[in-house]
Amino acid sequence: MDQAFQAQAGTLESCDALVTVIRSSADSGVAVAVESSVAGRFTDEIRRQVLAVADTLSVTDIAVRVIDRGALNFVLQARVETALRRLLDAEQEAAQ
Amino acid sequence: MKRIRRSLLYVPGNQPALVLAGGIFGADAVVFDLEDSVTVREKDAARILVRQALAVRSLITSGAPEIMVRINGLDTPFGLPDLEMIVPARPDSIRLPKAETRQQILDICALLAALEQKAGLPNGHIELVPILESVRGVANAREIANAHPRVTGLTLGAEDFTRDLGAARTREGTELAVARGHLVLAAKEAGIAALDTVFGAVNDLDGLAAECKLVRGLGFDGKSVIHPSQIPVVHEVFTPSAHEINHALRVRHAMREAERAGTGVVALDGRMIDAPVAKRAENVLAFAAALGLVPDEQEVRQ
Repeated sequence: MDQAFQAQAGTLESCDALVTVIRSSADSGVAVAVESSVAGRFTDEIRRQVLAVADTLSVTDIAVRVIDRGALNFVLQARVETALRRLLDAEQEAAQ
Repeated sequence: MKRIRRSLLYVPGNQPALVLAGGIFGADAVVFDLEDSVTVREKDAARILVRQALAVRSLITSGAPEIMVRINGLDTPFGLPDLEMIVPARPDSIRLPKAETRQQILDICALLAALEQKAGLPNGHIELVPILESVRGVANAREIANAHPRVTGLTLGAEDFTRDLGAARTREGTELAVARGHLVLAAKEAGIAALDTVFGAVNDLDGLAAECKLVRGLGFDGKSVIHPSQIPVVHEVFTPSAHEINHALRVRHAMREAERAGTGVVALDGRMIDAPVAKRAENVLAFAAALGLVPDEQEVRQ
């Protein structure tokens, strides 16, 4: 079986987030798992941000794992976008 | 009104904690860096992070009126993608590495105009500050300074320049004397800011102060900094002192009195004041006013 494409962005440093995206099977939508050093109540907000960025880039059928180190929204959005773009680039490269 | 650019703080573009904090130290400009402080494999991450930071600039720039972005050179695979992503986020200015010719400036200005138009931004909004960091770049300072109205400052990149020159870097900076003189002359002729290179020894604040005094004496307007602790030292030197402001106010007063009295020759403290002296005083006062430092004229001691 082919290994699923995956990509990563960010770090585990303070104010950052480490975002990993893995391609999942067709029609599986966007699954988000969050691990936050801050507090549980931010989990929903992080999930909402991930879904918004995926929607903007029209990416679906992925599993996203976020390890949050207190990233503000603009940082989280940047890291999710970077990881998604890297995933798309890797897939495009493999297809060529 | 020209921008105040006494201190320009470099902030690595891929470090969220620093991007977030860059604006709180009181630098006149924050320079988000996509070039030397970002590794090749993180170039994409940095430009996206800086774009997102610009989208929330009120959050990150309390106290830093200008946001500049140092892009990668347009001769690298990263320069064009940097511009394409950063321009729509509307930075105040772009710092262009390795500027060497007028044509390079015209090329990037054409790109900026096209990208501004595509993003629905007013044409010409984004300023350009080329970095002269090669012998050729310094030698062409004049044509670079005058290439386009977007160019509002020239800055010196000492490390690359001295390597190109074949000279060693010293604390005294003798090896930069010619380049600084050349740059400041070109900038002043074009009516734009002359901005000095960074001082790398972050713990040597006395050395920094000495270098600031040297370059201010040459006519420079400000200096790039790499650590927040350098900002107050730079400001101390590049801000008109109370003595300078007071003297300028007295020159202005003496000139006005002479006009009223219809006298041709004006003297202050036994020295003649002529047009250049009066103009210099007005320049000091305009800069001091922009910094909010000019006292009420009645407070001036006569």
